[in-house]
Amino acid sequence: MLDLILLPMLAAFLLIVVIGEKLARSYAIAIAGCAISLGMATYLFVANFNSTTVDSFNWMSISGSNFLLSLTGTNLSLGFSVLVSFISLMVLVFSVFYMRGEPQVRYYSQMSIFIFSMLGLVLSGSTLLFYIFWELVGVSSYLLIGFWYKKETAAAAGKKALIMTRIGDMAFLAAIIVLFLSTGTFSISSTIQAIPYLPSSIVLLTGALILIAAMSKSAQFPFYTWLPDAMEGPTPVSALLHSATMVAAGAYLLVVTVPLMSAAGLGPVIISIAMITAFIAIMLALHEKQIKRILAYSTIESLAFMFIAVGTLNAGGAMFYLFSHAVFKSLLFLVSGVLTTLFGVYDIYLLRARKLTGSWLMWPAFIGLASLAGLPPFMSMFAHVALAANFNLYENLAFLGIDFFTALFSFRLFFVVFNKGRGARLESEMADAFPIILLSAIAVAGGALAFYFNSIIQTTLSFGPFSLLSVVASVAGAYIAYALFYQNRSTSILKYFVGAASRLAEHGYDSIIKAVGDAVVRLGVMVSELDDRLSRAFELGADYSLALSADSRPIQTGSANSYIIAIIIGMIAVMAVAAAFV
Amino acid sequence: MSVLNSEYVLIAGVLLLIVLDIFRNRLNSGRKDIIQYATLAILVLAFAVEIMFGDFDIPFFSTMQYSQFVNGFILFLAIAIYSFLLADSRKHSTFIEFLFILAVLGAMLVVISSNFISLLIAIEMISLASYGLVFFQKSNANLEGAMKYVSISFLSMVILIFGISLVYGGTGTLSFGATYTVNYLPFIAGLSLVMVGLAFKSTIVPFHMWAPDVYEASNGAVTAFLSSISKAAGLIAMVRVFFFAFPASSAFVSDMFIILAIATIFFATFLATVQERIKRLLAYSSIAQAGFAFIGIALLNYSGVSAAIFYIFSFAVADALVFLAYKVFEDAKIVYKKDASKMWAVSKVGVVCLFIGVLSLTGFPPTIGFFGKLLIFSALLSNGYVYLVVSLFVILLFSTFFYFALLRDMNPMENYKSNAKRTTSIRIKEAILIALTLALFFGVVFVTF
Amino acid sequence: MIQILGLLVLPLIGVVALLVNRLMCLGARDENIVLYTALATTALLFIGMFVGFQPFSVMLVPQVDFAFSFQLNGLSLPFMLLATVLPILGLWSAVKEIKEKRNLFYLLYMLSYLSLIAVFMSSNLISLFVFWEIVLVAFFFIIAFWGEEERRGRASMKFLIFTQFGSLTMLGAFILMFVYTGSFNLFTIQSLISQVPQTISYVIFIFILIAAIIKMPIFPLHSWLPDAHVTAPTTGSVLLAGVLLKLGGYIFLLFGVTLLPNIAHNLMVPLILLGVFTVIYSTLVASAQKDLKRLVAYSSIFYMGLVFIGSATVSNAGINGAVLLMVSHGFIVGMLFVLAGLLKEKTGTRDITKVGGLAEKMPTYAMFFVFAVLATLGVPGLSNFPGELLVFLGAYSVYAIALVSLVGVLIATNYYLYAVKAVLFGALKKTAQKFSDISTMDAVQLGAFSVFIISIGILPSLITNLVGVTI
Repeated sequence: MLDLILLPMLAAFLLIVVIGEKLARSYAIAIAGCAISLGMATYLFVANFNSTTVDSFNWMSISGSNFLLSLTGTNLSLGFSVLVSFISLMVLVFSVFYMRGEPQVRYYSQMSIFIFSMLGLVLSGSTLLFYIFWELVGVSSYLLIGFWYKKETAAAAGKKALIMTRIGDMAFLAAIIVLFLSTGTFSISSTIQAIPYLPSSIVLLTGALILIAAMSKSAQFPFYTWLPDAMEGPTPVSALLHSATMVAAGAYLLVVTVPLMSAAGLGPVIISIAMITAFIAIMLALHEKQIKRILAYSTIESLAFMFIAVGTLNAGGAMFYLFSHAVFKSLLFLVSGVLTTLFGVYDIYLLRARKLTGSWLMWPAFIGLASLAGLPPFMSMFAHVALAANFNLYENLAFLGIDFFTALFSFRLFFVVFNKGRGARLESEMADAFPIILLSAIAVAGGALAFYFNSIIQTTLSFGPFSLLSVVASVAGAYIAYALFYQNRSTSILKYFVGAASRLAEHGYDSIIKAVGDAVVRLGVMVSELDDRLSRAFELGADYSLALSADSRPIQTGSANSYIIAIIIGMIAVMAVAAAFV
Repeated sequence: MSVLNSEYVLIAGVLLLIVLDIFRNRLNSGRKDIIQYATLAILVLAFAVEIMFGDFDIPFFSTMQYSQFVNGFILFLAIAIYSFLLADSRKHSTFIEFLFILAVLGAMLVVISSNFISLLIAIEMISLASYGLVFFQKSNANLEGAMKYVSISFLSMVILIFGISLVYGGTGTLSFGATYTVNYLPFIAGLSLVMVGLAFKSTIVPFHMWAPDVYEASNGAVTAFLSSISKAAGLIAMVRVFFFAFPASSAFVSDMFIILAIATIFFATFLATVQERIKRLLAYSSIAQAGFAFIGIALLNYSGVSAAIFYIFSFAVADALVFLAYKVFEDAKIVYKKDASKMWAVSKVGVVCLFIGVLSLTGFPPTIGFFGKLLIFSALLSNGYVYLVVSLFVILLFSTFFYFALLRDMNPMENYKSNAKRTTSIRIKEAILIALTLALFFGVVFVTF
Repeated sequence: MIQILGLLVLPLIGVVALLVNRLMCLGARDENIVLYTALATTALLFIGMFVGFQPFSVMLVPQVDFAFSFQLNGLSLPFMLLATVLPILGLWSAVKEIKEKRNLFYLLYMLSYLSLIAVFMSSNLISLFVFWEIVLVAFFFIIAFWGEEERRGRASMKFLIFTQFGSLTMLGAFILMFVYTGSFNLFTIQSLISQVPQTISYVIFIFILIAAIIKMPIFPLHSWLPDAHVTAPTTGSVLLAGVLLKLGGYIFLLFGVTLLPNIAHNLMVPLILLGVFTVIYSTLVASAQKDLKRLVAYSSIFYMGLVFIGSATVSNAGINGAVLLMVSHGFIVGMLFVLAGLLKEKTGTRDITKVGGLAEKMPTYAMFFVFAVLATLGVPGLSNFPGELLVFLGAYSVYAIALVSLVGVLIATNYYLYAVKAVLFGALKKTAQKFSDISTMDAVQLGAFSVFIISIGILPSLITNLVGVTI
């Protein structure tokens, strides 16, 4: 039954592939499939509210142990699937505008397969199926990042993304194997139930492996560099995969496995990694000039927020933030998509020259960036509150700083683009305006959802002094951004500070990764030379023995005398041996 | 012992031939046909008689008498080789016919001899006849080969006789059958001299050196005879002496044989890998084959010797086949390995037969060469010689190398034109080759443990 | 019930038809004969999978217990599937590539087709060995006669010498089994194997192990494989990697792991470590390759390394995984070799640094290429994944360190993605302006591979249900 949510997208994928180039409007199939999925997901969410449905399928049986693949419909998973299909629908509609003139079939088929995998991942009830979709999501991301394969950078970015995430995939696979052999089941819920009975070493091992998996997918600290590069893909792809859904899968994985994380005591580790990530992301975002890359760094930071929430064992806060983030971040990407399509530039200072202030896009951009900064009364503010539910004092204090800087870089983006010059009039059409307006509306009014979210997953909204303080910090950040970038006060201190940090974080770190990659290849070259030697050693052995044979040819002189001598020598040898035996 | 014995048939046949030849000379008839057909008929008759009545000697195999089997395949090969000889050329002197029958007779007598004197006589019969056969075409090359053969053969004969006399000194008798365990130096020395004398005929290293030269110098059919029948007789003589006459005579025999066999296999294989001339390559390969048979004999027990006898059969048939097949191509001036692909233009059937023959020599299934090696390995392994078997595996790789290098050089060219005339002669030759090839497959029925 | 001999009679008819076609100059197209008889054989195999096979046995030489006896053992069917189907899929490459001595080529092709099927269903070891060697000889000549001109001499000889050594040690093992059980029949040996003394069992196991290590191949006896692959014509590579390597895995599973589980169990740790080392080693070597075929060749060593690990675990999951991985790898590596062949055909080179941006001119080719690479990387939904999963499961269950081989998967990801990027992506190189996309028949051929890869990937139970051995 739950597969009804998945099937439309799979069907769409197949239809697009099969019909191929004959159909100019393959987007219609993709959108229809996505709409049906959305409808089904919403229906099932409403109809099965507060009850759990499970679909399972025996993939194979090996000597008694069954490899069950199951889909589980709970409030959380169905709710998430509503979100995924909704955002996907928005992005697909937007794509009609954005991807005009690009290869349609390839794009929409890959998007369909991605949405299919993402929905499957959300609904998976067994670790094995979760992993299967997890990998498929990564692969479709690889294909979509490299959509404009003719650009060397895009091709390289796709490769980098897949390799980086695959490190996590392998860790995840290892964790699944370990868990399966320790618990005898692939079912997520049974695994969670079995955690208290597992030896602590296994818990720690699998917890750490799953954490690595989540970190690589969600572009957290040691792995984050693939996400900014992934912005080489088309903007709708960034909007859907690299902000709203796929990267959030890492956070979702942690949400699902919170009991494991808590049993393994990995909370502090998660928090510190996420804090480091947030810090790095802020520095890089402040330094960056490309609009999409700024958004990418902000995504990394937002994902770090979710990680921090999970680290404080606040799964509900993380989930709510995930929902809210999905809405405003896809909104922001769509806005940036419109801008970059219209003007063909990504640099925010070049965009400033277009005198955009006052155009209709300013409002969605403001809503999105204010959400990012966590300003009231947007949905994101509630998400920030939910996020902080379990914070202790230090975390709260640290978060104030983060709030401040987040507001600073998001409003830097806003004020640089929408600067003093005004007057540009932007055309708009149904396909781009509709998703942007709808998403803006949700980002504004979605805060109301916060009070119902508790029924999806345990969420605490506790407004306290720190809620107020964080709003104050955000406003302060926004004001400073206004002062620095709108009024153009001196920014040299900031530049100096940010520049140094980001050089370290970006170029220094990237070169380390590069060095590791190069080292593997160089090792490969060395081993390959060794292998050639080995191979040649066998041949040399053969050659030498042939040479030896050739050298022994003169024994056969052709003269009867030497033959007789040989016989006599042989005879003496035989008799000597015989005598020795006697 | 049956009165109707194939050896008697051959002896009678020789006498008959002499009479016929006298008549032919009287009539001044230039026609040799009658002699030649008579020879063939005698051989066929002997073969038939052997199959039907040849029951001399102790039962060796489960289903068949040992001497019957060996004499049977000797006669079979003799018929094949002689018919090939006839198909090739009929201009040779009728003397060749006498020699051929005498040589075959000698080989058969070796198989049944039960006394050192008869053994010696039988072996010398082969040798003497072989000198003449090598000098078949009376060319300079023939002469050189024959002279080498004669001079070295005399030496080995002297050694053999000396060895036999020393053995006599130790045992006081020349007949086989009694069990001797004499730990007496002259006896041991005699035994080792007998070993050397017989090793000459079976081309065991280092007494093999005449073989490549003589093989190369002789007519193809004669080479086939030397490398199959004559060599088989030499190896069978080893079996007679060391297995039947002196079973477990001394511990050193087995070890000595293994050393000699390994030396033979290694040396011959190594030299074969670097040969450019096809015939020489086949000559060395034939020496290596003898080594393999010898290693079976070396075990000096039932399984080893029966494996060796089957192996002798398998390589004798294969060697006869490849040398005869090569004769067809030698006549077309294909001497070097690199020219081997021209063979297809001469005789396709010949190439296929040569191919299968070489496969059998390499030991690839399902030819009897494979089963021969299977039996040898089986005998070795059941006696615990695991390391020996592994070293044989290694050397077999070298032999695989040179055999397959030859086979690969027989790469058929795409649009070759067959310019050789399809004479009756070549058709008969091909028929003989096919018969031998079939024997390589159906010979498997004689396999036994 | 279908008489199992039918699976050999049909290819035999093909062999005879090819001979008759040549000798009588009938003028029929050789590849059609191969295609039809192979298709008929495949149809018979599929029918037989449903209704069952009736064993066949005829004693040829009772003295040495040599019989042509054919009976399925628990491992036969997956491999027979591979051996029957793969040559059909690879046939189209031969039609394009083989220009001279076509009749002889197809004769050898059909002969090895017959023999490969026969090897997997022989229950008499001598008959198994007979067919095993026929395959070897046929492939020697396929490489030696139709391989790439400059290297074929060396490569074919290297192939022959290495694998022949393996055959001989395998024969040694068979003989030892015969000496101690008195039979060459697989099932008799299985029932009497306990009579074999411990030391002899070790010798047998080591002999089989050497044969498997050479044939699969596993470090350090792998060096024949890259040369043979690079030199062989595309179809030859497809069969070589697709079926011939699996012979090694088959005998290792049949005579090593399932026949002598105790010894396999005792030697488990060193064998698994050897497998892990092979995995890392081969992926590292593959990272440095520029020739696409060579790269694929080394990466097939990598997968056979995984197979080796799976087999060496002596666990049900590991063995099933090994079989599944072998079947899946057969199809995937076949597809990759076909793709490498097409690269050479279209661009004149297989050096991945010399081509680039082909996706623009050859979109269909690019699609299949990416698909095959994803399949080989073990993306779920495609056939390598369930096999790898089971192998890792088995490996972890007995020896946790074996999970280190996951690093190999990562390195493989790196070099395969590099190859994809180098060949397909980026700007179109100038030399590549006039390349055309692959033809419909090429696409059909690649599509056929894909069908098998996808169906096994989605329903691995199709294959695992055919495996009938348990430890």
